[in-house]
Order: sequence, then structure tokens, then C-alpha cells
Amino acid sequence: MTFYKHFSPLLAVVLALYSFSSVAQSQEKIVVVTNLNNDVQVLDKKGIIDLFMGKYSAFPNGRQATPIDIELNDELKGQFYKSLVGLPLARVNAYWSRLKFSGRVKPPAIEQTMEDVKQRLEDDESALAYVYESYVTDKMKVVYRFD
Amino acid sequence: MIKKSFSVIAMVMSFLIVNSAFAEKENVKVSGFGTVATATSDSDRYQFRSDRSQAESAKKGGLAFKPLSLVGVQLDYSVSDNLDFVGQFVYREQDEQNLDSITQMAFLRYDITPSWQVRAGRLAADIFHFSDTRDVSIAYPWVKVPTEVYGIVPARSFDGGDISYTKPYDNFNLLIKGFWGSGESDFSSDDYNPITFNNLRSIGVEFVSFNWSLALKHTQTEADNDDEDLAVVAASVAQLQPFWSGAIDFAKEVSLKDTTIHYTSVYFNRYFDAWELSGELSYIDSNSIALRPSFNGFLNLSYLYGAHTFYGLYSFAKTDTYFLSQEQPGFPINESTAQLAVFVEEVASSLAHHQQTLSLGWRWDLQENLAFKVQFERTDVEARGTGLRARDGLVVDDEDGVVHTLFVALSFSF
Repeated sequence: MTFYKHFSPLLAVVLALYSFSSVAQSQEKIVVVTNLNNDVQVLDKKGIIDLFMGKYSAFPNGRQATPIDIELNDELKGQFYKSLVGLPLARVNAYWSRLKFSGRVKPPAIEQTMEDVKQRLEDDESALAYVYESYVTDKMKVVYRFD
Repeated sequence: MIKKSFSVIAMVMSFLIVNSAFAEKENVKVSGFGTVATATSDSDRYQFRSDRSQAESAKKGGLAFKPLSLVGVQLDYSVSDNLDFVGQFVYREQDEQNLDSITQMAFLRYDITPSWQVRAGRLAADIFHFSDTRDVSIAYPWVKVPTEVYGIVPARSFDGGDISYTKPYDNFNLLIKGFWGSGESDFSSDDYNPITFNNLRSIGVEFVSFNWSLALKHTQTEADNDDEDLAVVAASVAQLQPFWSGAIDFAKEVSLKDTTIHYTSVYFNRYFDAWELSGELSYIDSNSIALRPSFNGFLNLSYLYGAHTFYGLYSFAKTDTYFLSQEQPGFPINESTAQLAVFVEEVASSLAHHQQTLSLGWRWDLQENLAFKVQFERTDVEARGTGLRARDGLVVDDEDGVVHTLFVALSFSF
């Protein structure tokens, strides 16, 4: 009881901060970016679904694309796929299990952190990744914005 | 011979991959999937098995883990940007356990262009829509793919090659795929006597959007041999030639050897926000009475609510009942041939499934790659159409029946 008395205000603050940060983060916009030297200027949603859902493996100009998934940021990954196809990550994993374990398609390449994604985008002209808008650098090119 | 060569390929490639793994870790990916599932049924007579390849079954008063539990490991090795090796090894209940039998896939995949792809080696069978992933339970909402459609698909993989072409359009993508190869049936007896399928040709056309898809598939193949029981019955029928002029011709109809078999299916699915409606109709026939024309299908309605999926599934298999006296009035039935007549009817009935199932189920995604599933089924089996169920005795002695089966499963991927 005493424990609850002392810690309930603290708990409330933590929860409030958590809620605020969650809301703040969930409100942050996601953009899809490529290497700055990539010829592609813009992609439509169907093109991004094709690339990230294993339906087609090239940009509209015919060049091979390498979609990148982020491993250690479920918040960003979940928000991206929810915006893209309206599915939670578990259903996206189920979808990809069918493609991968039938041997039809190679899944997106995986980078661990945002820093890794950033580095990959700088090094690989075929790379295509999703990042928070605030994370875009002058070495990335935005090809799609989610509303 | 085919089996031996693919065992060697699988072993060599796996060895190379393991060695390469130390040198180029990022080029090798190890992943996998599995199911831990149990089933229990209220019938000793018509026991559950997920497909005809299984000797293990679920029956009254017990929990059976073997029919549905399995684990699979997949190795993906990128030789270059365009060339990959894929090896998949699945351990599940089956008659033989060796490198060949657990190697579900072992092939090279080459992307000629983004539109054209070729694969060669051991490939997952792509006969009906879920044939190539029927063991990957995490990939679909149900505990298992509908037995009425997939229980009769004769193999999980074939050896050969395929070529596919993909063309994106504004609202959908077109995928055309052709396969040529050969393989062996999973169907077997206690003596392990599979049927070999030669000259197996398959064509598939799919129209795929994210909200809907439509797929048409057709496969044609020639059976190279009979299993032992079938061979004995066909030979015995041929010996009736002195008493019945049609005996030799009919013996050829009884036999599966050199018979052309056709598998055709149409699949669709459509998402309406949280709802998904999907279904498949398939048709199988051959010119042998051992595999007579059969309609099979399922219709599924799923509702996605957060991490939960609730579904209702109706599936059926329909083949006409076979009576020798009606189909072959000239067949001499007397005291000495009565038993042979029963065996002929058994041959004509054991793959002639006639049953329907209504299933209700719930899938709960505990994590991104872990799902808990419960499924309850009511199956109505028709007399002489009970071949999909495991049982003692002959199919021709079976009568109409109703069976309830409960499944509980954990499906995962890694």
C-alpha cells in the first residue's frame, strides 16, 4: 500500500511520458528513401508494395532494387507496414513466410539499426529503405511520403 | 537414381554453405519454421491424418502430436546478386527418414532479369495454391491446409526446373510459371512403395494485387508404376481373359502404370478491410479407375481483429461411388472371383474421397513469429469415400459417419 502511495505519482509520470513519446513518435511521418545517385525520382504506393512485398524486384526504370528492412526498430517497421498494407507485423511475417519458404522470392535485406540503414543507403545505389522524415540526410533521396 | 543425385547435391551444397558461412556470413541466411500441434478425435473408426502419406493418426481418447508437428530449416546462400542456392530440410512424420526424404527443396535460383527467373533442382510442388507451403503453418490462418483439397496432393516436392515471368501492371501483377520434372509420391504403404511421376509438366497463371488474387494451375504427369497391391489386383484381373474378353483392357484401366494424371485448380482471395474471403476449386482425373474424377474445394472467411484471426472454413472432396457390377457388367462375379471383385472396388475407392468438413478456428499471434491456434472440425464422411481418414480395414466396407476433431497448435518461424 505504502509502495503504491509513493510510486503511483511516479508511475503516472512515466506512463504519461511514455504515452507522449509514443504519440509523438507515432505521429512522425515516414518516408521512403533511396541513394542520392539513384535515377528514380518518385515511386507510387503500388510500386513500393511490389518491392517490399516481394511482388517485383526492380524500380520503374528496370534497375534492380534492394529493399531494406530494419531489424531493431519494431516501432518504425510496424508503422511502415501498417501504412503500406494495413497489416500488423505478425501478418506481414505470415505473408513473407509463404513467399520465402516456398523458395519463390528473396525477402528484403536486413539492417540492424538506423545507422546501418543510413550507411547502406550511402553505399548501395540499389537500396530502398523507410525512415522517419526527421532522419533524412542530404545523402538520401525521398521517393515517397506517407500522408 | 534421382533420389541419390539430389542427396549428393543437397549434401555438397550444405557443406559448401557451412564452409562459406565462416567466410561470408552476410551471404548465408539460416531461417526456419515449425509446428507443435496435437489432435484428438471422437472416432476410432475414421481417424484423423492430415494427408494420405501418413501412417500416424489421431483417434478417440488420445492426443496425437505426430500428424501435424514438424520442424523445417532453410539455408539461403547468395552466390551473387542474381544467383542463390536454397536448401530446405523438413523433419516430420513419414515412412522414411533420411537426407533425401527430409530434403524438401535444394535448388539454384537465377534472376535473369527482374521479370524472368529460372530455378533448377528440387522444388516445392506447386500443384495447387498452398501445395508449396502446406507445412508452413505460420503462413496461413488455419492449423493445417484443408485436407479435402491437399490430402490427396501426391508429393511435397519434385525434381526439375521452372521458369517464371512477372509483368507489373497498374493495378495488379501477372505471373506465369512453367515447370517440368519428375518425382515420387508421398503416398506409401508399410513397405514404402511410392509411385514415380514422370514427365511432370505444370503451368500456372496468377493475377495478383495486394487486395485480391486469382490463380489458375494445371499439372499433367504420367505414373511410372503401381504400388504392390495395385499391381497384384491388375495382374489378377488380366488373368480373367479366358473367361471374359474385356479382362486385359480392364486390367489396364485398373493399373496406374503409364496413366496420365491431371490436376487443375482455380484459387481466389479478396480482402475487405479486416475480412478475407478465399477459396479454391480443384479437379483431379486420370484414365485409371484408381484415380477417378474428383472435385475438391474449400471456402474460407476470416476476420482479423488485432492479433486475433477468427475463421470459418468449409471444405469438400467429391468422387462418385464405384460399383463394379454397374461399371463393368461383363466382369464374371462368382465364388472364385468374388474376393477379386472386392479388391477391384477397393482400388477404385481408396483414392475416391467423399467427405465434407466444417471448421471453426482462432489464431492468436502471440508474437511477430509465433502463433497459437485452435481449430474444431466436424467431418461428414460418405460410405466408400473415407480414404482421407486413417482406419483399419477396407474403404469399401466403410459406412457413412460423422467425426469431430479438435486441434491445438503453436506455429512459429525464425
